Amino acid sequence: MSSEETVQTIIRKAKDILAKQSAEDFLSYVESKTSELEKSDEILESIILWQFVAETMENFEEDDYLAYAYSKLISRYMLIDNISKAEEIYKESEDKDLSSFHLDTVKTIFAGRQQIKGNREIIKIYRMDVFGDLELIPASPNTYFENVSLIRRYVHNNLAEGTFSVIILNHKNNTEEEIEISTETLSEYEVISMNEKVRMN
Amino acid sequence: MSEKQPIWGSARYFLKLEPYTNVFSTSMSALVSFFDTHGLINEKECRNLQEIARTVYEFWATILAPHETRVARWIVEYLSEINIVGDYSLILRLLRSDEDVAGDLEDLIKDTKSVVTEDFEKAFDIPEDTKIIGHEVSITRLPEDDYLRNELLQKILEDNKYQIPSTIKSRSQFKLPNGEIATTERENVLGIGETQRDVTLFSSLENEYDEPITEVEIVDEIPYYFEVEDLGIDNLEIDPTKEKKEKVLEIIWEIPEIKPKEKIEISYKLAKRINRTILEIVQNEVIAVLNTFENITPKGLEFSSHTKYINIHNRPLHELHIVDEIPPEFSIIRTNPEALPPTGIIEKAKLKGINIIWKQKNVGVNQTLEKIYTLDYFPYLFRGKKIIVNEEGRTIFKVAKFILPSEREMGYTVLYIIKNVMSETTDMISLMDKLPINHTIVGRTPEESQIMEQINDEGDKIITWIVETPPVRKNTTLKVLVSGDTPPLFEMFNVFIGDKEEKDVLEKETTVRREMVKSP
Repeated sequence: MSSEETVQTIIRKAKDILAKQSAEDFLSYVESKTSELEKSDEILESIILWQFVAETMENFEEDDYLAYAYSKLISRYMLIDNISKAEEIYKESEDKDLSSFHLDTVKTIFAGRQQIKGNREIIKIYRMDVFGDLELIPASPNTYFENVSLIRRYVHNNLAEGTFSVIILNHKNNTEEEIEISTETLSEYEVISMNEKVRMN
Repeated sequence: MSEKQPIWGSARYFLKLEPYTNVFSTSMSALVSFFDTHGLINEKECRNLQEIARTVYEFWATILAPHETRVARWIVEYLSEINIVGDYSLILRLLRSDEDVAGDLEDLIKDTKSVVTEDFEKAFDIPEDTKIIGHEVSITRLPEDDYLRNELLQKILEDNKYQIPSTIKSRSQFKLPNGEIATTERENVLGIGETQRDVTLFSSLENEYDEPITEVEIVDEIPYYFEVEDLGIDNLEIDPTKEKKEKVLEIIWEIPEIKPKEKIEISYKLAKRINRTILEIVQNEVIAVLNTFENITPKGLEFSSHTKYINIHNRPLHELHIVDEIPPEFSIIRTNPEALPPTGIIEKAKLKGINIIWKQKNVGVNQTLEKIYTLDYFPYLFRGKKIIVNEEGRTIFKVAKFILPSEREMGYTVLYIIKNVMSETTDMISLMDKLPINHTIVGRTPEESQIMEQINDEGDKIITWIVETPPVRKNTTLKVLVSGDTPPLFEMFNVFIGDKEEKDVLEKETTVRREMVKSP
């Protein structure tokens, strides 16, 4: 059977699974087949199949699966060094506002290679003292990040030891998020904790 | 210590696994991080081995065509570098399989019923005032497949493990003046004890009526997990009776009369025991699970626990599993016999404490297995925080005390921090704290700090640190090194500002739990 026939057979079977079973089974089937193809270096065939998954899932309005297919497409185009196609899919995923663990990972790799500006920007950093009180510290790195892990890495590399509350502006949807990051070396303790609030005369 | 390792076939991409346990199992959890030459790309917290393997596979697959065999081999080699013995075939199987093992296992268990355990109690020499909780689990068959078989046994162990309660039930019954019988029921919360090993429990009953109540009976249901070290009822010379029930030791106090508005308080000093789960494969279709509770006793500067198991079935056991859950305040120094894999495994799970797991095949009739554990305190941190508010309820000061243990017989460090939140006072601040009588301050930072020592009427050593009020939003600190070969007192301090003292406690909360923290 030629590669083209193989792909067409897989697509027919996948459509059948989607009609009779679930989107999950459909994805699982295509994934197992693309994995087999990739093991014999048939990356282009794998790309055709992921393109088919993306189109199908778009019609089904299954954003998680669509994001997964996009992550596969970006990474597979990168594998064959077709950067312009990878960038096209990257931008499409941005326009569609897709996000998932896999897609974020792949987009970070791609953005790293192409030095694309990320969406997240640190706008405020607070340092936490021993009482849990927050104090604003100077921070306007004006640096953009692709995902939260990268922000963690930035804080670890650039701030002194401490626990910080970092406010991030996501330029994509103009929302703010807050993450707590500790750059201290932590040890495991059995903590006996007493908290009291008292009134003074 | 985990280090990042390159993905095979790539010089630019790396992976790092940080397992939360030192023991390889399908339930092990870990943080999986993915790096390129610039640094971290992404990371994922994985709850079990399958998720770990698949996350490694998925990261790998973002940059190279994936091969399950290479991924599985890479994981096994990585784990081996950090002294965890992995299983290549199992990882490969988890990577390739879509099977829902948990669902299948559920179908193998037919039913679970309680069983009488008196014979076991006699044979095992269990501590006085405890019982053995026993269950018999019927299964359709023991799977021949090793992986499924282990998962099934693990599930039965987990399902039948004794769950340590955080509250203790107390009920009472009394006669009202009109002859009616009234009852009450409450859940009492455990408090921290004088030392790390103990917990305290207070049980009380207040006569809210305008006339005396009579024939009062208060019953506290103490789980067998706790050893009752001491108990007492205030101002009354009454000895309670004890009754061993299926899961709790009932302590019954008979009080002839409680006057109107009078409150009776009962106090207990309890010590935690080792929570032991024993799984015996009696026959292919019958598995017995026993929960026993083993005392931990002080032995010099250490603690010791001596446990005994005996096969009292009239046939050899195919397999025996014993899981000893050590209370979290202890760490393990040594075991006798030595726990050496695969028969004995000491599992240290991050933030979860220690389990000692014994697995033995072909246990003969009347064969006895004794284990002796030598324990020490797990590194602890005492953290006492006090918020001081003024008459208007606004926070004026925050004060903290931390106790950190030093090396054995070297004492401990106490750190006090006073933060002025918004007080304009120019008065001196006095912080008064208590030390065990035989403990001595041997060092202080800053050295010029003013500390007074005196002995109070109860014979405790009272130390008072007198210091100028720090400026608004600033801290002042004192670190003292205390020498003493007994544990410190885990108690709150008192604060005075000039001649003003604390008037009333508005909120109070006490917790003991495992945390990842920075030494202050």
